[in-house]
Amino acid sequence: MKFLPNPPVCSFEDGVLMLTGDFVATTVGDALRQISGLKAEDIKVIDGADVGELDSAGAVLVKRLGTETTQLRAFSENADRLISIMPRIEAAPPSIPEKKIPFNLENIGGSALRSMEHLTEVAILIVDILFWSAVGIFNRKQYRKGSFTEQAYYMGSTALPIVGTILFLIGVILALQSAAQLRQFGVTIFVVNLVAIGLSREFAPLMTAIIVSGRTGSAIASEIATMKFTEELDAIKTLGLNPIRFVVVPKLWAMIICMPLLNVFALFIGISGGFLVALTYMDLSPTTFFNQLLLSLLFWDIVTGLIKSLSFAIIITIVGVYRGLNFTGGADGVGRATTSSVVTSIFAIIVMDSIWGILFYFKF
Amino acid sequence: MQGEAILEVKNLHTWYGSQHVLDGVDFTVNAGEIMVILGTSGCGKSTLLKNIIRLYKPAMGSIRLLGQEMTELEEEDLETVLRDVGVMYQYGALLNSLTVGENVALPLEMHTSMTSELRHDIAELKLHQVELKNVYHKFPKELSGGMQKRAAVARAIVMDPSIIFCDEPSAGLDPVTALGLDKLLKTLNETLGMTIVVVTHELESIRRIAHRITYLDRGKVLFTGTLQEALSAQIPAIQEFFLME
Ligand SMILES: Nc1ncnc2c1ncn2[C@@H]1O[C@H](COP(=O)(O)OP(=O)(O)O)[C@@H](O)[C@H]1O
Ligand SMILES: [Mg+2]
Repeated sequence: MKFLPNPPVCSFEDGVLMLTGDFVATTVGDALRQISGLKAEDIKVIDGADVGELDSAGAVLVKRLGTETTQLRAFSENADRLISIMPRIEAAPPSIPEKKIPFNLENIGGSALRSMEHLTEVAILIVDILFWSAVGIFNRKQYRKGSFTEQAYYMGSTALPIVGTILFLIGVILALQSAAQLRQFGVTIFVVNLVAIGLSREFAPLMTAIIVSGRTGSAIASEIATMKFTEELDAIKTLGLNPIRFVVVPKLWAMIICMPLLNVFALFIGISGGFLVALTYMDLSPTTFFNQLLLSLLFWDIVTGLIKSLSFAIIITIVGVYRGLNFTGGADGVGRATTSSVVTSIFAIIVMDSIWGILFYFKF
Repeated sequence: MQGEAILEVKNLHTWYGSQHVLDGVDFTVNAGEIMVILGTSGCGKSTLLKNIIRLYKPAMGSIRLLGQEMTELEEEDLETVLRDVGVMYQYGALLNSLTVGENVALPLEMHTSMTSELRHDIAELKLHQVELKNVYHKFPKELSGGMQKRAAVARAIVMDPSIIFCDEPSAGLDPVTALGLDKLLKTLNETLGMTIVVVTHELESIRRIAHRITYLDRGKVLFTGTLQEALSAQIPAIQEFFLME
């Protein structure tokens, strides 16, 4: 190919399309634009006498321009050969709108409709999962020793470092921000209340859930999508096992046990962050801090957090499983399932959190 | 039993959405034979297998497997039939959460009440048959692709089924390993009289093992018969397929 191709020129007169210049990959777009108004049936002859270079992109263009009966005239021998080996490309059939439109603001209307379909599927899945989880307690037929503990270990203890770090920082930030405000009124001691209540009711369950959905929810989605791709789920079914029971239930139980524990851990670490700020920045004594903590942090606050984290555990598992099972396509589909599981579960967690917020505000 | 139809598929239709994947498939597999199903990729071979073992219910048609009408079976009866059927999936499909040995022993665990020692011994024996040694306690991920496929065969045959289905057993394997797998299938067929339905593209493999072949093209059966008959039949798609070598 020449370094700089000559710009293509297409002129049309009396059914004859004259091509001049180079018709190569970098220029065919230009040529197509020039003839965009032409109808294929009107082109009786395509004249290639003045065509310079022609590569396969040019050949495809020429092939597409006319109909079966269009004559090709005066192309060079090489160009003729190239054009002749190009398959005729049929006009693309009307595409079947099965493509999933990704969720974004502009598509809210469409995805609202689609989410109705999703919702029924999810509802069936939830019933299925909860049913088999309950059955699993009494009937251990398909239970495999170790599958639950392994999951719980992975979900729980390996998440400790990151949950700890983040919640510690959140404790510090929360204390600093509220100290800056409360100092103006001379009531810095209430920082302890803010930290304790804020962490136990909101930050500990919410942040833990977001971290876990990023780590574990995505892992669930990608694992199940991969299992679908490699036909592992099919194998499970033909072996007479129930995939929900065999694969999903141990995960759900592990999540249900681990999330509240992680939540308690997160609360503890977050409060230590606040404690550090209180000691160093606010000159509170440890005794004052703990006395105030015991006064402010009620049992109910902790229970609220635990209830929330339980619900988040269920949300994360179900979203991960649903996205994994809904996987389509190849390896990239696994990636998509993973990403969408994280996005969906964070969204669902925050919606759920607001629902709890409203309920707890009015009821308790 | 030799020679009787063990599997009869009649007028089978399947859709994925608007895509008509199987468009009136008819074919018969006789007891004791090795039937090779071939065709270009995407023509519906895996779908056909999955319909036969009722992973998906076909939209229309009849499938008689081991004397049972698969399209009408209740779940419990389906399980009984599937006990006598081995399946080796295209990607092996060993369960990654179990060791190789546990995978092979799994059908025994699911369908029999034998002791775990006995299960272990049988699984070891089957692994031995597919020439896998010292892998019982390894996880599938620690095995090479070819070894995983062998293990998948071991799992498929652990219940001594009357019929096994293998979806592209030698795809992606080196010629030596592929040859080994073919020999294994042939041995199983000759010594145990196992009926084997194999999906494969490998011409070498077809020559080595096929008693009869069924050629699938865009959801339709173009031909069923022996390889010789296929080569002499004047069907362009099939001739093209065999001339690709
Ligand atoms: N689960 C599925 N959903 C939608 N389309 C599918 C699915 N599985 C296979 N297909 C489509 O059906 C056709 C046949 O697939 P398959 O039976 O896997 O072909 P083969 O095994 O012969 O290569 C292909 O076009 C494939 O894209
Ligand atoms: Mg296939």
